[in-house]
Amino acid sequence: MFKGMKPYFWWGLAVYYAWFAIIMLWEMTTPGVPFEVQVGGVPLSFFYNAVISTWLWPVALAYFFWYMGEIDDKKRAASQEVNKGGR
Amino acid sequence: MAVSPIVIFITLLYFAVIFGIGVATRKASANPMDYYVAGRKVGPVVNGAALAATFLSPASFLGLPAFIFLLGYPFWWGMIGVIGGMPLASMLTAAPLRKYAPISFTDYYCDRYEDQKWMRVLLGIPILFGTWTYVVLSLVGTGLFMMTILRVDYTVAVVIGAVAVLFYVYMGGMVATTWSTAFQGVLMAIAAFVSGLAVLSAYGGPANMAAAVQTATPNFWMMPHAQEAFSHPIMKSWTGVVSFFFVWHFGFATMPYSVVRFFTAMDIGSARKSIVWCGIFGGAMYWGLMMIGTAARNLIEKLHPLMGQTMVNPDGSTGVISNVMHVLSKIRADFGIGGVAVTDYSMVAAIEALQNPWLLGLLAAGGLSIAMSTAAGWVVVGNVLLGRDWLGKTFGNKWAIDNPVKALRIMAVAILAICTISSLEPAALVLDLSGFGFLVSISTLGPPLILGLWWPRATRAAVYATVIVFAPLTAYAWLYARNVLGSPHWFFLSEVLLGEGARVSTPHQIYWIPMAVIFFIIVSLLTKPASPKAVKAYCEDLH
Repeated sequence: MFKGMKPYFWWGLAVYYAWFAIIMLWEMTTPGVPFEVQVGGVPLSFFYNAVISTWLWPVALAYFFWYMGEIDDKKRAASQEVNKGGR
Repeated sequence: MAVSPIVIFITLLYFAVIFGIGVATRKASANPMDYYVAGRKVGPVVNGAALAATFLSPASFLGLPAFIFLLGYPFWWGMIGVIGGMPLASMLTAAPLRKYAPISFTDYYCDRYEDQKWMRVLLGIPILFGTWTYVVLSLVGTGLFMMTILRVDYTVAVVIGAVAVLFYVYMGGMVATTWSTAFQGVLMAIAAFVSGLAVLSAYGGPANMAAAVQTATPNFWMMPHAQEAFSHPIMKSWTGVVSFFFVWHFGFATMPYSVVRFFTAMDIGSARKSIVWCGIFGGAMYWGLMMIGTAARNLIEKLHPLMGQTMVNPDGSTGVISNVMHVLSKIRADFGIGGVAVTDYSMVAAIEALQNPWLLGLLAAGGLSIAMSTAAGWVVVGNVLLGRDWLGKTFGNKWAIDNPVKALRIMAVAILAICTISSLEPAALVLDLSGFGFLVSISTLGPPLILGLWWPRATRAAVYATVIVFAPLTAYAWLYARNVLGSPHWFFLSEVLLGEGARVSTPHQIYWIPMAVIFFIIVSLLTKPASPKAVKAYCEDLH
């Protein structure tokens, strides 16, 4: 199952979900985190969840998959060119 | 409250652009490939905006801020989960399906599982159910926005929305749908993002807003487990937060209305990159909705023009509107639609409280955008299924085969006519069923799609078994939780396992999706595999 899936997919997912898991565990084990942990009077959750988790983190992973996919495609195309030349 | 001319002007401008796109793309009807899949010429920015607008429905725009209003901060995690699931599609489905380049959603299943006839009929059942529930939901959303913001009669509003969607789907098929939906995607993201900024600005910044919310609703920020107190009974245990994170998490990669957008991308790289843009537009929108939902209760009580006015109680006596529930009840009494919960008005009421006609106009256009784009997304899935897959491919109707565009147009008219009639009297169950529509689609269509692409051993028998077993099973569990336990968000076996009165918060997707995957794997292992040729062409060669 999932034979042929690139290793960077699994590494990307591991880092990606680790972020969510760590934040969620922190919030569910330490009382008051979403409101009481603040930076300059602003709850930190406004940064790590409203901005990073909701927006930047998924975009970053999607960008990473696209970028690595492009590299893969170029490598594959180059390899096919070499094979053609050899025949 | 009178409707500002600015709000009317912005709404008319929105409809002018939508109708203009329909007229400009009418030539797409000359070429069936343009009509089906926009000629596979759509770039990543346009496709990404269209993906965001299609996948995110009025349930996002109205329902998710209402969920924050009701459940508090823990529901932020539900919204994070929706956008958080998008990148998975990049490699699981977008790239391989674009490489395969099908025309309709059922094509892949038919080729991979070597069944060109009955597979389309079988898969059509959950697809049509999803089409009906989501188009009804979207038309109700259109009516709700036009009625509450523009004071248009509900029936007139629904008919206007349906006619507008039909016009551009009919004229330009997938080309018109792509361009109008992309425009709507940008508009809804701007509307929600600017509204979110306006909410923060009304408080003088996020610090003041957070403090005001904490003062007015002390339990709002409480996460389960960390404290004894909780923001809402559904968020009493950690299962609520974790479950809501995964409720809509896997939908983007497998739901028909988002998956068909991968077919329209110009190449594999564009299909992958469109998910980056989808995250940018969807994330901007969700950030805005989070801010609105978080502030809604306090904002309405502080600034809404209805506060302090006289209201008539159900028993005929009069009183003063003195809290948020009074405001929402008054709005519901004036503009109520059967089945729409009172909290669903909280998003519009929160922006109304800011009393800025430009903002309200933008919200009206953004709300109409998200509702109409989802409706159009499902209509193009449904009309291809009925007009091409069923009439032409399955039943061999010669007229439908010879006149593919006409067949699709007739089916688009039929779908929108049925859904418009259903939208005029939306019983509570019909609106709630969109949640079930999502559940049954993802549980029955998801495992055969993902495992078909990534597991050579996936079999046709497993597809049939999964659809036949999980459609009624998920229906039963969902209806039992909703009708007997009081909410579809409770685990349906709570009382059976834990005793009478027990309630465990676990929305259905959290267990039905893994169950469906396990079931699919077991049945596949017990049944005859697909031919090596099909496995090579539709599994291994697509990686």
